[in-house]
Amino acid sequence: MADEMDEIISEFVTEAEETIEKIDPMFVELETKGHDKDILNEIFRGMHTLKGAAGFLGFQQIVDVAHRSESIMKKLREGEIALSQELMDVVFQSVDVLRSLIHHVKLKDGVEEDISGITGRLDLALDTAVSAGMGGAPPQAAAEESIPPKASEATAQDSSSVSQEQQPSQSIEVAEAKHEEKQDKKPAKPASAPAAPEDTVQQISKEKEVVANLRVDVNRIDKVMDLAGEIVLARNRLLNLAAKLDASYSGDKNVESMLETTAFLDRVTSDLQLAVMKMRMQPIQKVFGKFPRMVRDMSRTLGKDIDLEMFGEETEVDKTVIENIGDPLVHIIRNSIDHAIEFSDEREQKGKPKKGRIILSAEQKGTQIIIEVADDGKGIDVEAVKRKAIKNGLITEDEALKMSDDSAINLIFLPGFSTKEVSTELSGRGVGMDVVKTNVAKLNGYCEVMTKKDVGSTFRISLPLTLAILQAMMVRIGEEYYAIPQTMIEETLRVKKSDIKDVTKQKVLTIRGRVIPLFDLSEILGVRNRQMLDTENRYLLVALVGDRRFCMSVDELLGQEEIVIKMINGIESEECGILGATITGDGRVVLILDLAVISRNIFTTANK
Amino acid sequence: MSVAGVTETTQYLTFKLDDEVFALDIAKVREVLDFTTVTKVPRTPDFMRGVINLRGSVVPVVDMKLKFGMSTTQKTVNTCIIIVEVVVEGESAILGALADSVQEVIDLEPNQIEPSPKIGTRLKTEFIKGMGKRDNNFIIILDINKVFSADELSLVQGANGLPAASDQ
Repeated sequence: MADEMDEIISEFVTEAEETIEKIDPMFVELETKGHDKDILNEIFRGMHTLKGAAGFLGFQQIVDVAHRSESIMKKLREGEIALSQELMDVVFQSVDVLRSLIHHVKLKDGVEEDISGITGRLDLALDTAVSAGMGGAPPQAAAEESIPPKASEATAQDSSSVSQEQQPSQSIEVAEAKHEEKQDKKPAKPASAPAAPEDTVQQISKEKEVVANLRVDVNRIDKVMDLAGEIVLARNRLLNLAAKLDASYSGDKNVESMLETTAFLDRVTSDLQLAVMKMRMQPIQKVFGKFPRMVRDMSRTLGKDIDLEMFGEETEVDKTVIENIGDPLVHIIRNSIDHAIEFSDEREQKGKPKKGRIILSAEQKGTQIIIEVADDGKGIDVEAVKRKAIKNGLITEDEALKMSDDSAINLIFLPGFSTKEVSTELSGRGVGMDVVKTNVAKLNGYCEVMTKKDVGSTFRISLPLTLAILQAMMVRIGEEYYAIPQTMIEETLRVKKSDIKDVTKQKVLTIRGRVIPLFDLSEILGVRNRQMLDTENRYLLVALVGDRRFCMSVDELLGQEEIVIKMINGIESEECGILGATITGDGRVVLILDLAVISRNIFTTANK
Repeated sequence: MSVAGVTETTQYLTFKLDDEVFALDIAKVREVLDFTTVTKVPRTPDFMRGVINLRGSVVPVVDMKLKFGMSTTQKTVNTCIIIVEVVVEGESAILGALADSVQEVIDLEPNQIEPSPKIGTRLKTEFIKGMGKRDNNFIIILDINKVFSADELSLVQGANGLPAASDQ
């Protein structure tokens, strides 16, 4: 029974969060577009659903807030009150309050926020709007007015937390909600006759959507994905065998029909793998959705005038990308608003349009997802970046002189960097861009900056389409094979033993005038159970992790391969410098090395 | 003692480590595999023999003999990997356990199980759920969740941590 209730509540939370996420950008749209009936209808419906569900489950606080916002929306929709700045501000606040209330429900922490402030403000805003808009309130509004006192009574009950009394108050609320629904519908229909048929059409299409969608536990999808990966491996082996059989018994009828079957299996398997991968994909809208609001709030706080344009919100990306790309984008956009885009008068002096512009776009290019944040601000001052980097001890003056503009700009991604002399509370704690780089690297992607003085900057994030498949370099150490993610490898080399020098017990190698420390990968991994063959030639990988460059020697380089990452449950593999494992075509388990951990380990011990 | 938990007839899978017979609650056992290629994971304790490919999942394999202070399990025709489902830190995990040979599935009545002895065994007593009595022989019934608890798996790892780093 308790489990069932939990399930219902968590369903409610997911739905409520989705509703809020959907409504939030709509408010911003409403604000820019002005009075738009479709948007109003949509918001109204969202609020109404939220209120109904919350009422049914007895989350009185949510009902109280949602009810008031809904009333405002209803009046807006019917044209009884006009859209105003104050009204929008209060409505925005109410959305925030709703969000935190839903969060409390999710955490089940039983915390009750003080909502009297927001409900009071909502009532007040509605009252002022009504009296300003119409002069005399119509009789219907009076009926509406009679509800708030009752609701606040309920709030009082809540705070005294008499659980016995909550039961009846809950059922009353449900009845009330139903009653209201009727009330809503009656005046709405004759008042807006043309909107009514459209309404029903939308209602129907919505119902269809519900039938077509199915909520599935991600773990189940991942399991299917694992199994699909297995079929891929089995297919590879089968194709291999079939080719061999064809070679030895060519012309045999049975072999030929088997070749046909394996070719068919080959196609179906590829389709299957793609289809499963698609199951994990979601439109990036989920992340983009929160930005209109963020840009609006931030630019208003700073007194700047900024438009946000978004393209390609429908681009589908892997679920993991959705989860991890939010933070970097927030940092980049914050930086653009705070540091890059100038105040209106400054922009006018420069002959730019008064309104600043940020363009956020996403698109799929081949197997890559490209996300761009472009602003038309003042661009990044390369000299200022260099000066700052010298001041913060990130580079020396000599290095600064030799540095190309491109590499200088990349300094902003270093930890402990902030170009603005005075950091604001919004951004500029000097961690922002660092976070961008690390988060993007986690997703096996990379980040580029293009900037032009007084024209603007563009941040381009390139990510692989899926995180499940990784380009890796396969190497051999002793008897074991290892995979190393390609993103961190700069180059591979074969050098003579005599090229390797010893400097204070540390092996180093000079590559194109640069001295790079060399480590033996078998030593790093602690698998040196076999005498190193003292060969004349050594195979090396040059790795670049963050700003650290180092060489690792291996016994053999086997070449590049696309691998499927699998987690190892039961071993704390992160500590061991292991990212995960993969299974090769012949069924062998190959470990994937985590160069980030390995570099941290070797450099911390080297500094001791 | 822990036998208090055993109130009804339960089926056990028996297996041998050296000459001693051990048993596991059959409900914890997923399957038994032949000994296949194991990939050693660097910087893990010795008893962690490595990982195997279990139909696409990567599953760690523990050498129970090393874990219990006996010698390393050698590969023979009878060597098996018993795939068990354990609960580590509240989450269920799939692990492989090496055994010299798997014997049979037996029924044990609660009255055939005695509390584990306080002394006279190489095993930590907490690993033992009880001693099964059968034909005048004793079978050591393991508490697999305790053997593979997060503490047991990480304990040695911490002490063993970064062996290569110290060499630098």
